Amino acid sequence: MESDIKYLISYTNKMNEEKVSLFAERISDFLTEDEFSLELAERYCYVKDVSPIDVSVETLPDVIVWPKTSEQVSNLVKVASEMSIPVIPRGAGSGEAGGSMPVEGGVVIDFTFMKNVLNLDEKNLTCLVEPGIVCDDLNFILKKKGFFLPPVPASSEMATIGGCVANNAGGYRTVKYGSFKNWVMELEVVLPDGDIIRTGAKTRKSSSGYDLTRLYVGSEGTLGVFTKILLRIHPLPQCIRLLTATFDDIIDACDMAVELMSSDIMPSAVEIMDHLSIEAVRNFGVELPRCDSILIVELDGLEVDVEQRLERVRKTALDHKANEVNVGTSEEEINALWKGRKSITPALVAIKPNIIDEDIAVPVANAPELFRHIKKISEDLDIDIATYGHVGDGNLHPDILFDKRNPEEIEKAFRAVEMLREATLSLDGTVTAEHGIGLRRKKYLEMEYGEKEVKIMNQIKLALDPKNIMNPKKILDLSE
Amino acid sequence: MVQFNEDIQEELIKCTHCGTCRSICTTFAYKGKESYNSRGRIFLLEGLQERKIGFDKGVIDRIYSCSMCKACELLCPSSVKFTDMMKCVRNQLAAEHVGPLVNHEEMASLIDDSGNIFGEPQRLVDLSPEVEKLPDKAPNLLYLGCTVSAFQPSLAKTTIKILREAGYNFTMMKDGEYCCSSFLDLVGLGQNYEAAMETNLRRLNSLGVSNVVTLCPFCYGAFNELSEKTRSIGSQHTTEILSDLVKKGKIDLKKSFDHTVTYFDPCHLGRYRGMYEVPRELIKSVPGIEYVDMIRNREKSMCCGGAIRVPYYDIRSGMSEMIVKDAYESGAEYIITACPSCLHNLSTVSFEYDIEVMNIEDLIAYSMNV
Repeated sequence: MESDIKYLISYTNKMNEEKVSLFAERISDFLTEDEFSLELAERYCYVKDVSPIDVSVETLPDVIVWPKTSEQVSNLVKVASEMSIPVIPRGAGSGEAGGSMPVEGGVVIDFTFMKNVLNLDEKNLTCLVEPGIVCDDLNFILKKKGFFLPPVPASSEMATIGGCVANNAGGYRTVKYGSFKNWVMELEVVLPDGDIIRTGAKTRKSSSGYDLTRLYVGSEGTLGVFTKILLRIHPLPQCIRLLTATFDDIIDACDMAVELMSSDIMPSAVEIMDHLSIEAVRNFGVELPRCDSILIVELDGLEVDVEQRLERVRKTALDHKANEVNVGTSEEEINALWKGRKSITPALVAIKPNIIDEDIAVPVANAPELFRHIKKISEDLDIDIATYGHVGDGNLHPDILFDKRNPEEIEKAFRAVEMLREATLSLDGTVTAEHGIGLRRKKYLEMEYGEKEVKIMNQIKLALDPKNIMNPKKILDLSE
Repeated sequence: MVQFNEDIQEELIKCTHCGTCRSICTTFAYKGKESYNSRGRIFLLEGLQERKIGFDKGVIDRIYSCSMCKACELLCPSSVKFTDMMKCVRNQLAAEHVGPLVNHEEMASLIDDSGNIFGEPQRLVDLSPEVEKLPDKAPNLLYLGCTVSAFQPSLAKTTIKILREAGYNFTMMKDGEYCCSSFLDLVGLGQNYEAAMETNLRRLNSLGVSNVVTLCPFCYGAFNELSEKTRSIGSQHTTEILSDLVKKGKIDLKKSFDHTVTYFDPCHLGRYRGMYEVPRELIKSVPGIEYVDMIRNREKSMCCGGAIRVPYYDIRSGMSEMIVKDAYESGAEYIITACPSCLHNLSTVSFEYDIEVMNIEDLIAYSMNV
């Protein structure tokens, strides 16, 4: 069976030693010895990210660079452009689509040292940051001032803002606040020829020309490299409440989510966990009620308003045959529940050693139907699929469990991926809601959009990056 | 080429490469490079396991520059027992003569020759006239550890004075201590460690000791393991004893220490042994103290890099400086710690900030006015 995952294994191509030496010599004009490395031990650590095991491209990058300024990045990209060397920007390497994997060798830019908050404008509610700052670190700084950045992924402990912008990440609060594209106001971008541009505006509204910022958000490092990011920020809510409702049938939980999202209740999170996810987390030692499925609803805002909306959510839950309904009010209770939600993936690894984590989304009203498809795929292939995710925006993460030591299970897992994506597209969905196309989902791009649309994407890519040096082989396969 | 044993392979399989360890690993926080993070080190072990890379200088360097602080373990969503795994790896490398580093072998030789890991043997009777006055045999033994006996005589004298003033019945290894060798255990010389503890057990038995009190959390861990193994000898850290003596009214903390202080959790007392609150309560019992916690405290505290000081002095200094900076930004005038090694490491960089480093015994002695 042909699969985009299997395809990746076969790739090999690297620069020759002479070219690497010349490149190193040229970048040493503006980078110190500690700011770049050709060492094998270092380079080997940049071969992979969190992508499923069989997306191991096994291509070594030739050079790793840790810049500290935009100018260094600009100079670096200029040299790379002149020498036609691939440039792969990398945040924390916590993406699961292979977006930061160096398929054609080249130079990996690790933004770990570019992690400063350059300005915090409390009146205009904006924050200028460098791309390497970690989401939780930024929110820690913002919290002290009474603000927060709402769209953060479950991996916020390590994921960087640059990575999130590159993937248009979302997270559980997207149902109310939207994904990163709604929070990026301006970008400083190093173009593939090394020039630096600024996109966007400092104003809340702008109808001025093409929206290059939206083009760059979610471009996965294929069109340029971000070096400064101006973000909107939001005042911290006065009150947060978390309601959990248990169900005998996940379709009831889904129907409740659909009703919530079509009401004016405005939850800040609507998360779902299926039976297998719940059991895995319970076995992992996190306290959750034993049931078929759980819906977690977060409400934030003014206390008096939140309490009123909470009662309406509670009634909606009971209308949809919820068994137990509990409300967490303290920070400890809320953190404990989110801990359960965040520990699903490692908990599942305890059941089967390997997982393929999908990131499909459908219009929310189609979510119950998507669950029916998932159940059927699991039964038809006789393979475990644990499903959880941000059902409030129709975004589910079916985790396919298998053991890579068993070829039959690998075959089934790959087939399940295809069937899930096909089912999603048949329900007007998208094959990735917040993780990105990267390497893993390229062949579905055309199925999702159509030939002409992908051709336009190719034209945009070539117009901005004619030498195809920016994160090649990601999103699009120009050579094919 | 090393074929990793099943225990190591089990832990490698558990890792999902999520990178959560990036948020807590202190060597990574200082170096900022993936290979100095736990996930990076796991990538390298996987590469070795799969025969994709070999034991070159860089790989060896990353294996031994992990400070074994256990921080990543406490945060790891997949419960990878990283420190145990690294110890296992280092033991296997030692068995197959790939490791440890030359410096580690030199330390083992120094212990063999002198009983002290720095090659600085010290007759404790020469340290203080107070030692002569101690009984030859007693139920409790104060064990100073190599750092204190060789380089911190003042801390040794202070601790002896406190315990004598409090009427605590104890003795010491008057002719000199034999290194607990827990450091050698961390670098993969487990057999040396076992042998050292057998030597110590014989000595303890000959002195009629049933409880060992240590200043150093490394030694505390070693004697705790001995205690778990033999069931005949107990083990306590000085903070536990001092806390107990304060509660019993044997120690009178009368003199006020009017400063803002913070406590730095030594890895081998905190994450290794779960002791976070005893030292804090003891510090807070000193009158006049205003206590603040650092941003990273208790199980999330950083590591000072003591376990990799040799040969990675630069990384140690960088790691220690991050702690001093955190303490400084928390508003503390003093960092109190409960580990002679942390005291040494933090002191080497604290001069750059307007902050003092002090071991907890010195604080107690000040307040007792001894």
